Amino acid sequence: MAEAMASPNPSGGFFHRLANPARFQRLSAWLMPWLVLITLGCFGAGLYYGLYASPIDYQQKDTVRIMYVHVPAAWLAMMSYSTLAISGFVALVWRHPLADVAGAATAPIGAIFTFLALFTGAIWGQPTWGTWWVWDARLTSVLILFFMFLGYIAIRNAFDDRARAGRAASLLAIVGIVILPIIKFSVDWWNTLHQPASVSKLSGSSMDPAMLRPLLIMAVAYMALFGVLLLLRMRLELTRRRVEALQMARAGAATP
Amino acid sequence: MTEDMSPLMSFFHMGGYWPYIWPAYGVVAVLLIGLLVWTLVALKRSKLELEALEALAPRRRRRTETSPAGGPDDAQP
Repeated sequence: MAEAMASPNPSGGFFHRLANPARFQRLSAWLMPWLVLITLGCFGAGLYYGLYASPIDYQQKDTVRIMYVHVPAAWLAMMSYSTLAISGFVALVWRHPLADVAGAATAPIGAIFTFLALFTGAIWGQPTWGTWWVWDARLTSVLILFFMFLGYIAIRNAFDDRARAGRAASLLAIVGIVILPIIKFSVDWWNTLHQPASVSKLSGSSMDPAMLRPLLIMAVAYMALFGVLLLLRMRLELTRRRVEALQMARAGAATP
Repeated sequence: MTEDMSPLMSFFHMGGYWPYIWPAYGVVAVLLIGLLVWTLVALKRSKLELEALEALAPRRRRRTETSPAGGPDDAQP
């Protein structure tokens, strides 16, 4: 890793190899219709079950329906951060140009999912806990996750040199991975108002199948949408870099 | 009040929790669709930009692909 980071000429040549990422474009073109189909189908079914064809909770009444948009958002927030950290690692260690592109493409998606988890959680908290927000470990750690996505985006925009920005942002993403176990186990390590895990437990899920169904369908819908957004934003990032490279080449040719 | 509501009304009423449930679903829909639309518009725009640039210098494109580095990026300290 240190060897890769200490490479003497990081900015030149490296991104020009992106010029023809044909394999990615082919794979993405093949995947896209499937992902769109899964997204539409699962959102349709998930909304039907979540809003209509599922029972109300004996305590929470209808507010339990917020779970079907809240919990998958939180899962996707964490999945997005894993993607960010993994692509940062691959970008730093193997200097794979597509990994850097994937990181840049993931950050805004992750920020949106994290915001949605926080926002829908606040709306759910008011009728069930009697408060929009508490500074408990789960809520606070997810808020930190949100700021980490924003920090990642800020770092990427803070450098003129795209390669340096990419390395700094990748490093932040890798170091920040400690937030994921903190979020996951925050409900066990600390006394929190947020309820502990009820879907993924060693003893099996403690949730009623009629509620688990819409939750899992919505989770698949969110994941497929994440895939669609990621592929589109990677295409966008690649096109932008290509435009930049061409503009640079023109500027270089104009002033030899 | 909930007794004499039509099925459609009671669906929107959500047992009285409509002020929480619909905004939660609404924000999710607006932000996710918004992100998708924003991405598609930006992609369309940068594709047009790329096409315009490639039309300007069709031969220079080949050269930048094979030339090592180059550009003002390297001139930076």
